[in-house]
Amino acid sequence: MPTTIPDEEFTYPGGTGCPGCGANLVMRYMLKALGERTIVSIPACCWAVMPGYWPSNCLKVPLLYTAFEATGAAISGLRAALDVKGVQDVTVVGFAGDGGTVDIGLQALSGAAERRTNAIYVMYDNEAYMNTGIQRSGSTPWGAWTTTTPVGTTHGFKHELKKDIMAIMQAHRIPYAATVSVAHPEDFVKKLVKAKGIEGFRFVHALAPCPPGWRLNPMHSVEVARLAVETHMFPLYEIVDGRIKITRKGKGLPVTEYIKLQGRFSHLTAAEVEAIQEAVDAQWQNLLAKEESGT
Amino acid sequence: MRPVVDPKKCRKCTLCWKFCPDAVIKLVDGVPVIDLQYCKGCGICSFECPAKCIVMVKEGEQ
Amino acid sequence: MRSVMTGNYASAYGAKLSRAEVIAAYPITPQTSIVEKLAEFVAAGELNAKFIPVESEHSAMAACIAAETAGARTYTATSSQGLTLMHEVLIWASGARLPIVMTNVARAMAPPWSVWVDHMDSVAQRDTGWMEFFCEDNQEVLDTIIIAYKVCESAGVMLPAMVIEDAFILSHTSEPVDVPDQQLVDSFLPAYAPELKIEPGKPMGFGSLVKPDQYMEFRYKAMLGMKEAHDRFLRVEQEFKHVFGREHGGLLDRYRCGDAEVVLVCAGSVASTAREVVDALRAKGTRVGLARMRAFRPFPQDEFKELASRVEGIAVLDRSYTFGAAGAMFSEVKAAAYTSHRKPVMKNYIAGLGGRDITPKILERIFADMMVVAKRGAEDEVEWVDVAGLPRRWR
Repeated sequence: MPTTIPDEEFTYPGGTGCPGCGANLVMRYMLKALGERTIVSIPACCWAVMPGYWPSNCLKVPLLYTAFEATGAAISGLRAALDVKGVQDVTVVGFAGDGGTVDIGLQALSGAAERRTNAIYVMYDNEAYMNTGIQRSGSTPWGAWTTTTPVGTTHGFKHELKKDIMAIMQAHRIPYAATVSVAHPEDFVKKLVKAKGIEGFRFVHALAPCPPGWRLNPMHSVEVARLAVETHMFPLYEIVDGRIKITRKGKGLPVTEYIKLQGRFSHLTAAEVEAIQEAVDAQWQNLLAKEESGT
Repeated sequence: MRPVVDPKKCRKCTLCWKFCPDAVIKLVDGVPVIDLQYCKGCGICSFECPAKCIVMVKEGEQ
Repeated sequence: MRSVMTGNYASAYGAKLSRAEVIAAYPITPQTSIVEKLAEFVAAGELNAKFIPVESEHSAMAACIAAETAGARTYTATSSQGLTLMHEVLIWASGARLPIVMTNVARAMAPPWSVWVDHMDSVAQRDTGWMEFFCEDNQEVLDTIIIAYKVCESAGVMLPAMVIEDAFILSHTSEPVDVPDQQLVDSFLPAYAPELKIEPGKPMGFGSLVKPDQYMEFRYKAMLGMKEAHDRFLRVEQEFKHVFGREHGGLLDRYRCGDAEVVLVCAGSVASTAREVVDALRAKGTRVGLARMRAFRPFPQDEFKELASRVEGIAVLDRSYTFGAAGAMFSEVKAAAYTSHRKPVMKNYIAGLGGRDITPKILERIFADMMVVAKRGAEDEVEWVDVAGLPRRWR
């Protein structure tokens, strides 16, 4: 059977990601879509460490390592330099984790989007500060255990809602935003190729399952991404010139299918899981309504 | 853990190659050949394979 | 072209003549007219640069770092709160060996809020690996930017530099400034052509992760760059003099120090007042001199050692307070003097913070005090000048 995504690899084996790392698949699919003439800027995050110790590097494209909060600024600077030097036909990518995007990186992201920086910003979302050892971020979902939202004897967990970065990006009126999943590589590649062809600021939100952080058996890493989509925990959609377009309806499986694979949710009571189900259902209906009404 | 491939069962669907986070799987005539030097033993290929032709075994065993 | 302009405009012309290609900046009093002028140049088609109106100073420096890595000559400008906000990425720029040039308009740090001259913001960056040049007048501002690019971009240096203007005294005060011809500047300062830059098709990592058995060598090399900067600056300034017909005194600008008994060390625009006071005192027969610390980094170690070997007393005026045993500049000058075979008496005067005026009378009194101290020794090594409630009168 012929392959359904581009054959060429742009990452070498030997990077230091954990077994089953979802973020590894994000980088792999992204570069297959974008190709060789890509420059990637990476802040402090798992992927700042995964290329390995100097002088090794597992990427086949040039890589700029930057300070934690600076991705939005770095891609602005890169693009300005390439433009003033007349270097054409280069995709500039900011590749950052959830913490480096929705928390410490939010200001620079907002600035880059507002300035219509000609670049693609890919947030690989493992839903916590994983590189530093699983601390909660603004992108950690309601209900999750992390080291800074431990369960303890008081039945602790993250009580705040996950920041809706796609809504934030929509509010910046950028030409293109999309969610992608490592369990749906054809959709992933198609969206990145589409993003590549659009000028201006483009944002991609990739769910990146994390076996150690989610207390997940590594072999379920892709399956859990699949279930995230099918349960509507992480819907696949685009925002094209401000309008929502759902790209995969999903079966609407019960969230328990998704939750039961992950130890980070194992403390939740039946009532709490039910609360998650209700919230997910409401959000899904909301997304459908927005798509319907053209917003 | 390491993956052991039974090429006779392989349906050449390419899913194992597609889902390997470390890109250590090569398709040779459509059948996976896994670079055990770099394979981390995550088991995704084994789990995703529809023909169940990849089995994870403990390092040191058969 | 002979013109009359503020220090801020001198900075803008310096960056323009240096053909800065990417300018990323965020507004802050009293820097704003620098970036406004540069935006005007770009909009008028007079400067072929990309202007990035970033959303913070940290982003300004981060954007310059990325652009410089991609091979563009970059420039930015800031002041006080903005400079200190950049601290993390100032260290990044020097560690990454990027020859970025920036104007800092030296302004007091909050709280309390103050927009007036104070050197704490600049002095607090002395550990970042940036060269620091304190300017005395607006001509020096313009010239030093051009010189800085040439020094910074030298293969053996590859470190960034900040050119410092005293807030309002230089930034907003007009002085005669000669604006050199673009062609002349082009003949002196070639285009930026780094050996390595990030570009498509050449997979390389810029920044990376190193183990303990590798890190020190990177720092050592950066140290060598700063060391080279000392000699390189002197040579480049002589080249500048040859082409443009003027210079500004090297790293330590000495005035009438040859046979001085007592020398005042200071930085920035106060030196201009001090020159007048030196002349007035000399006319009365007092053997005093002025050693203006033009460069705080690279630190003019050899120059101070030499000075210490000849004079009776060195007074150091710190226009900042950084909570050490004594002022930052005093402490470093004293350390240099310690290496001399002869140890002059030294005293630190903390003066002019937050824009407090340092008048000729105050400087006369500092010299007078130092003349006495040079003979008798200092009771207190550090004295705060012209502070309400303290017994001594200075005005």
